[in-house]
Amino acid sequence: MRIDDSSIYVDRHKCIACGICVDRCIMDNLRLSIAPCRQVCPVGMNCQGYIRLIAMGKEELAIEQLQPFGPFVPLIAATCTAPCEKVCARKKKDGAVHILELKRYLAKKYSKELYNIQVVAVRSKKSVAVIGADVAGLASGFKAIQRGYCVTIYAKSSDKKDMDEVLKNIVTSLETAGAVFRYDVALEEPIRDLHLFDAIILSRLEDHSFVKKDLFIKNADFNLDSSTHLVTGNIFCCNTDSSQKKEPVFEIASAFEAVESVSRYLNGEPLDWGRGFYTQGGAVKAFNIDQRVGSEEQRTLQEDLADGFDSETAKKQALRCFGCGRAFEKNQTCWYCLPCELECPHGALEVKIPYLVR
Amino acid sequence: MNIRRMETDILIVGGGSAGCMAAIRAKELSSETDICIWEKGDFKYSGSIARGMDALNIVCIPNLTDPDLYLEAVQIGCKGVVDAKPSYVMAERSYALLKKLEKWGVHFILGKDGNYRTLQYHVKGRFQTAMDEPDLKLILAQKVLDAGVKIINRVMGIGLLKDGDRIAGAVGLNTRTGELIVTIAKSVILCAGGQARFNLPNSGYLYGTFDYPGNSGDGFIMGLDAGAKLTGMEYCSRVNLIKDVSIPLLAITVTRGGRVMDCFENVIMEGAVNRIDEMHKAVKEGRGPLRISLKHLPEDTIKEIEHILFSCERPVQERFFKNRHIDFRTHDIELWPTEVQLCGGHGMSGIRVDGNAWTGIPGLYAAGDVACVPKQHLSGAFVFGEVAAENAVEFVKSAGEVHIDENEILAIEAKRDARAANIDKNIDIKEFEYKVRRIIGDYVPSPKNGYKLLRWLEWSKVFKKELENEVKVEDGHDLARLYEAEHIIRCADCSAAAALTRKESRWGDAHFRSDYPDTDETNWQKHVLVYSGDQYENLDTSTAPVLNLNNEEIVHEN
Repeated sequence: MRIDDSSIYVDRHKCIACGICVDRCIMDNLRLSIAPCRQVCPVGMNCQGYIRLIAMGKEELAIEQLQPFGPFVPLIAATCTAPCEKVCARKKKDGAVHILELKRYLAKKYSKELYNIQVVAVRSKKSVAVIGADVAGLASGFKAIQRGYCVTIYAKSSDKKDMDEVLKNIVTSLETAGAVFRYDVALEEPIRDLHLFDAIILSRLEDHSFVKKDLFIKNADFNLDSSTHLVTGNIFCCNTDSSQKKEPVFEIASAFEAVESVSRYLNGEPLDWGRGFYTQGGAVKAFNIDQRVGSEEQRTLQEDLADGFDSETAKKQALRCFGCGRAFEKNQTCWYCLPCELECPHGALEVKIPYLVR
Repeated sequence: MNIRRMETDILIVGGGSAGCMAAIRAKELSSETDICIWEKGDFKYSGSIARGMDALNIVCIPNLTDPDLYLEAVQIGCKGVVDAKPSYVMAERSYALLKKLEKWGVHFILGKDGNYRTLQYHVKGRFQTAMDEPDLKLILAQKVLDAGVKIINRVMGIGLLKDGDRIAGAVGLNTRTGELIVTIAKSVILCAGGQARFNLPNSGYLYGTFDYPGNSGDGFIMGLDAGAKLTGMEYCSRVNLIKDVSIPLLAITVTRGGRVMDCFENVIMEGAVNRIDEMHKAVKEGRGPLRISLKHLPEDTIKEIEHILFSCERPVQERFFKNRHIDFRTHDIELWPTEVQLCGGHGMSGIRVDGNAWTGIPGLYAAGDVACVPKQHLSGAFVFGEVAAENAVEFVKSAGEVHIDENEILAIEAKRDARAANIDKNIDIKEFEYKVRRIIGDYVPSPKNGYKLLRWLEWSKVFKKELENEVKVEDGHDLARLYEAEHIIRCADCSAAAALTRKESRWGDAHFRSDYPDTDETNWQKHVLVYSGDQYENLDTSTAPVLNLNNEEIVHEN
């Protein structure tokens, strides 16, 4: 990939690889190269984004970068094994940036903001039922709420008892955002009125033989597509592979993907339109990750960071980030019309007039 | 690869000035009508007014000007070849449009007397009304979104679908991924802009054009293939603008007291843009380059001019002048003829429409630069966006269900797949476009003659063959560029065919044939129409009389 910025200049220290300029370009000129840490993240969290913002001293904006994961950030921060740090470009120089610990720092300091779910301005009238209140179920409910759907989550009464503190906080924040929880149904029995929902998301398919019966799905019709998470009709399933024990972050990733499919389905779009063969240019993976993943054991965070960061050490740590991902000019079709520059939230991008015209 | 299919009542191809206005008006009239907009770029800032505008070009303010006076002005501007009805309708509705925009928060500049600030850009009458609104497109886009219109970004139209005679929808191409989208619609409004990428600009930079370079004539070709008739394609519109960067500033500077001079310091215009022909003449006679001088103006006026130039329409010129160390207080601004464009807004090329924005195909309307309402500028795009929407809503009410022919879609898909498979070919798409546009510049614009125009048609055959077989397509972006190149070639065919038919010279530099150098008012005060056929490169041409306000032929006494 040739990175030739003949007419667009991007300041690596300010660019947080958010992709707004790429979206705004009316000549389809720009593309986004994604930092290794984001490429390996199961949920695609923009680590570079929040780290650069901490470095710039804009922690409140760093929280915005985490809003797509809202109340799940504390959960991820507590349980993730940080594949991002294994591929950090800084690793070979003097050790990876402490990405996970920075996440923990934000999750702790701004938990109130994160539990306050940001919802799209215009709410949809479409309704989505989620069956199962495990991590994947709650994550589907959260994403569906964020996209403005009316969400009802069905759970076993025992689910509530088994929840730990973190999950209980998530449930509270979902309830505040408008999700309806139903613990009173016996999931072994057919759920009444399930057919009234516009879409249904199951968490863990095999637990739900009752749903098959209720929704008149025959076994023969089962054709679970792992990329689109579609079971049949308007029924989707997240967390499809339960044979092995997974970290919560994978469950969350699978739930988000399922909701993406649901939302396409509800908009009447084909589930995989826009993810076609030619998409490789849309977001460019410009780094060879395999080379960066060494065989060394991951250093244990607990040893050197027992107490976590305070705002000063966090900033110092964040300043170590190289800022690998960024927007760049791919197609050289600039019309110097300036919306990209205008919309860049951090003044990282500058349009130079192409040399032939300058 | 997948095809995305969807249904809607009204499909608007193009989300710029005309497209936004059409969507807003249609929702005003009937909120339950389902409307979808395809936008080639990104909706928030798309089209020619990405960064706002400095004036509403044509407004008939009561007690100052009226539609009859405007009609007179535009008839002089077009040397008589203009249907009266559309221009009259636009002028008639222009003041209500201004009021509507003002209500939405668009800032029009008021003079000291409390009246709108008007500027003279026409031979007669002060129609141009000053505006200072960098966020014009944002205001429109927000209105459209609030109305509940569905927007699909990154889609360029590549063909219309028909059900018998009437329109049934359209096929588009995702400019990033190369996927197809089929939208079945009861009515389609084409607002896809003109053809800004015709020949090369003098900078040699493919996208350094005056108008939004995403306008590659997609709408013309879609209309043509569906059976609509194009008119004025021989009018190769070309203006004198800032040298190298092709950014407009005549209206802003000259109407505020700037002087246009030739190299011998003769003043051609001062205070009003009313002698464009003289500018072309001066350049032709070798008295160029022309310059705009602002030195003599008071500091306040220069500050006002700078404020507008550097905030609206193309704010990038601030850094252009800075790079070149040009200060208006001490330096003149050099002008140069721009590239040629085919465009209904600035020139007079486009799909022929009547006063209802109707193209002649049931259900198909056209507005903005893609339609021929000569020299309508932004006012025309807005007014005809509204007119088209009113008629489309009316049409949809009585229109039944449409059915599309699956074979048509399969053919388009097969063509796309064949082009996308050309990954191992040798010619770079940019080089291809560069050569196409260089050769267009060599043969199609004035000075024209029969020999040159036929030479282009020969080249056109070669290019079309290369396009299918030898141009390399690596990703969806390249594929979209390939379709654009095809549209560029076919628009040049239309222009050449129309120019071959018009055996006279007219409109100065826009259509000068060295083999027929005189203007023939007796025989040629009429339209040249281009449509699908087999006379030249799948095109036929014919002539049509100019229509008066009652849509009757104008009879010339001789």
